[in-house]
Amino acid sequence: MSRWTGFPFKDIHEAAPERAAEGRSLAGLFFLLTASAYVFKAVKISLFLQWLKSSRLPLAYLITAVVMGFVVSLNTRLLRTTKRRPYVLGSLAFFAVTLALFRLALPGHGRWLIILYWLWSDIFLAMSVTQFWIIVGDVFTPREAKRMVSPLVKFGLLGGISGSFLASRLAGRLGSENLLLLGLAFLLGAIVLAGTVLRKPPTSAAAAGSAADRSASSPSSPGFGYGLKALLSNRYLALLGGAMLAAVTASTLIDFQFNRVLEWKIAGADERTAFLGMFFTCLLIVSLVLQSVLTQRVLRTFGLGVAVMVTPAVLLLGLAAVAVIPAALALPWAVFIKGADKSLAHTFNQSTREILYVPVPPETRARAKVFIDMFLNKVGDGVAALLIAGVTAVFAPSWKGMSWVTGACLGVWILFVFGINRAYGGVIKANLRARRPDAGEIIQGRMDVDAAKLVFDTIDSRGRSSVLYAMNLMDLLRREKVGPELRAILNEEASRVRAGSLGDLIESGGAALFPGWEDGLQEEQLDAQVREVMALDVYQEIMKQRFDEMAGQEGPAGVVEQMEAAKSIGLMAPDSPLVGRLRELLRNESPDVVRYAMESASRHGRREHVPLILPRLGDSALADAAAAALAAYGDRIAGTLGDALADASFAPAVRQAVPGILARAGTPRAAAVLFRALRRGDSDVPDEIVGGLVRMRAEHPDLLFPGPLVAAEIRRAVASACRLIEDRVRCKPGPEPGAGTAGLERAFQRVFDLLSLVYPFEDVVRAWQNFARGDRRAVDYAIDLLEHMLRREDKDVVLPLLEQGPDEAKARRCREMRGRLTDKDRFLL
Amino acid sequence: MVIDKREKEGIVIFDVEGEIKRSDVPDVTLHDRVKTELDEGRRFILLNFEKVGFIDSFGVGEILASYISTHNLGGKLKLARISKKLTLVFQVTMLTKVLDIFEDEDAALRSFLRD
Repeated sequence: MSRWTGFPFKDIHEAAPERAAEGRSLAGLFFLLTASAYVFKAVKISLFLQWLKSSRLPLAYLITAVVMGFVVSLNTRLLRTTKRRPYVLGSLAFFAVTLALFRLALPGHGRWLIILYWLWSDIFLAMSVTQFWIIVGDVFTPREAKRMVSPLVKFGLLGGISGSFLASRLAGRLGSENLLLLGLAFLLGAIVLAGTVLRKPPTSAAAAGSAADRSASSPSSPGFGYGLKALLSNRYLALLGGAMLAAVTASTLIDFQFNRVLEWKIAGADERTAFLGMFFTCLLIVSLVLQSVLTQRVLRTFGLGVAVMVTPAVLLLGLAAVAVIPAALALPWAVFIKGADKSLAHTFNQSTREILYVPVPPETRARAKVFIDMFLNKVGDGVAALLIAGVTAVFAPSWKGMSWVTGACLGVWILFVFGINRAYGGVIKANLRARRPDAGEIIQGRMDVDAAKLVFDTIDSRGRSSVLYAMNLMDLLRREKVGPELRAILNEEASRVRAGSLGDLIESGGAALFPGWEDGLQEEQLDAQVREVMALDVYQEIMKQRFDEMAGQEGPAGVVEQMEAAKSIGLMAPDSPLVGRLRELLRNESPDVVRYAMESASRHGRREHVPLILPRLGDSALADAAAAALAAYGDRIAGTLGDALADASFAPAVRQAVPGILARAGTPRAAAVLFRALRRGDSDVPDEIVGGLVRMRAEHPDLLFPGPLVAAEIRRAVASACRLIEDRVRCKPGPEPGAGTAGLERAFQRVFDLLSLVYPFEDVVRAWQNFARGDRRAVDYAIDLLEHMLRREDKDVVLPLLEQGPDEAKARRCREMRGRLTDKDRFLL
Repeated sequence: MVIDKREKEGIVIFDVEGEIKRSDVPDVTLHDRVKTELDEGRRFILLNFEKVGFIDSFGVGEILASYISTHNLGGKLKLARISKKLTLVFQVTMLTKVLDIFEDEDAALRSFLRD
């Protein structure tokens, strides 16, 4: 393992192996930015309490909040009008110069310059952190950025620990003001690293996003208004903004309570600086441990929904404890509550907040993020300042009393988090490319396929036999499938094709198909009369004689006669003795005769005909008609079809057609037959079986599939795809470029197909379509959607397979994933 | 329903008038009339429906029963001038394949002579 892929860069390398170099530079940048920020912060609080006292904290919060509005506006304009590199480097250089000026001016001009420094420190923190995450968004795709968040946050925490620790050690020796020079050194290092990172243009994958980010801020729109507009027009962003506002307000209130206790319990500026330095060091170490050990684990185990809830819930519990804390323990309590607030903010909050931004479209994300992170953040400070001032003026609460106000803010925060959790899935879905319906689907959606087939049969029969033509028309009438469109088609045909036998009766110049066709009542009378005639004993007797004569006929004329006979049986009553004649017609050599016979058999639904229809599934000329005929039996013949599926003596084409027929039945019994066949594993038609189940699911959304069986099949499909990936890596370089790609795509599709059986169908289909597109952004969104949708046990197995990266990394993940399969999984596999 | 009988070149022609329906069954039906002729040794019968306004399934049954009776005795029964609607019913029920149907009486008579 090279020095760049080992500790502490291992996580970064794993998160984006192809962009590990950029990841390392960004990690260094974040380290230096947070190191300097924590030095500035310790000095800021300490000097403020020394010179202005905690009672003036609301004023500082308020001034910061107001000024930050202008800063946000300026920042947005600069983002829009300048290129990223000069903007970031320029602003960092500005902070470095002004910091040097503070160092020179602070000792002699105490009091009000402290307020200015407080303001400067807050602006630096907000701008540098926001810029940093925007750079991350430029460099990485959303999915990579999502994976990169946790390792980068770790480096940020390490930077904070280093800065705080140095501040705590050096405060007594150098004095608080001189610590600013330490921060300046970190800042200069950050400028150098930022210059390195921004030297490279954004990657192709991220470029679109960056361009969108920039274009999002159109020249005609003011920065502040644009950010606000983005928030107001997007419910999800509004929820994020609301949560941020409540969180910051609560955090500022906690900060006020902490500073008040600090001022009360620790005297002397340098002592406070040293204490704060040590406090921040310990705080950040705890944060680092939380980030390393807990955050990802909670995210993976319980999902984003629980992770975003952790911070407000813990803080609420901590606040509740104040009721039983004595004054002697005020500092430990304040340290705990402030520590919990900040450590969770650095870990759960930071990670989850960045993840929550990921599904927002790039064109909206940049402006909304800037607005929320920089402006709302400070509005929260302002709200807190007003609350403190108001509550203090009215109630003059003790150090404990302010907890009620803080608790109320935490409650509001929790409510927003509930809203975010509900909206998150919808936002991911909205970013997935809309499903492209295929032609077949459109036709199926608008037209009954069987009716369409009958229309074409009708038109086709016109040239062969007027009797067949009339019977087909009659059939259409019976099915009530002759809508205006079909009438138009048939009439069009009637005017185009001339058949002689019925003269002007049917061929009425295209005006109408039947006499009185426009009159629905007459159509019904006609149908009733035909039924009555066919039910006459005398008719049956005549037809029996006719069929006997017909059986001996050969040649084309004989075929037409037999077609007519086969068709007419379908129009007869089920108890007609002539229905028995279908057995011989189903064995006929002519496909046309058999097709009509199968259609008639399907109407009468006699089981004795099924064995005669089944083999026809293997005849390409009759397969569709046979499938339609068998499907008409419904699940009464599911068992018979299941037997055929398992019977190797049937032609493969027959067995391949069976799942589709069972799918059309769409009943639990039919589904059970398919699952049995899939579990048996000895079938050579697994694709058709899964395809049948998917079709069943698509056409019968209410049908429930057996979860454990599907889960086992998902694992089997994932294991199979993993083996293909591992084989591909082992065989590299392969004999042919792209060898096995088709097989792998099929294996991936199998996984998605199986997922669609137990998860929202449309969502899985959309995820598959995006995944299959293959470009990084689409794949990322697909995986995001699955991550949000799948249960943990499925997520753990499926996502490692789908994550992008070099084949070697995929193969390694596959091996790890297979290692995670439980004994039960192995038994099932 | 009114049934008039006439003969032409040894062929019995029944001119049917009115409606042939189940709700209006006469004392002597069309089939009865045909059977009488068959009993009297006639074997060539033409049913002329020019003046028939409506025939329901009962009427069709009468025609079919007449056909079978004639056919079983080696005779010929033919139809002329049936309505378009009835032609359609016969088409759908395949009876056009069994029955000899003509557009006018002369054509029907000529076909008897050919037979």
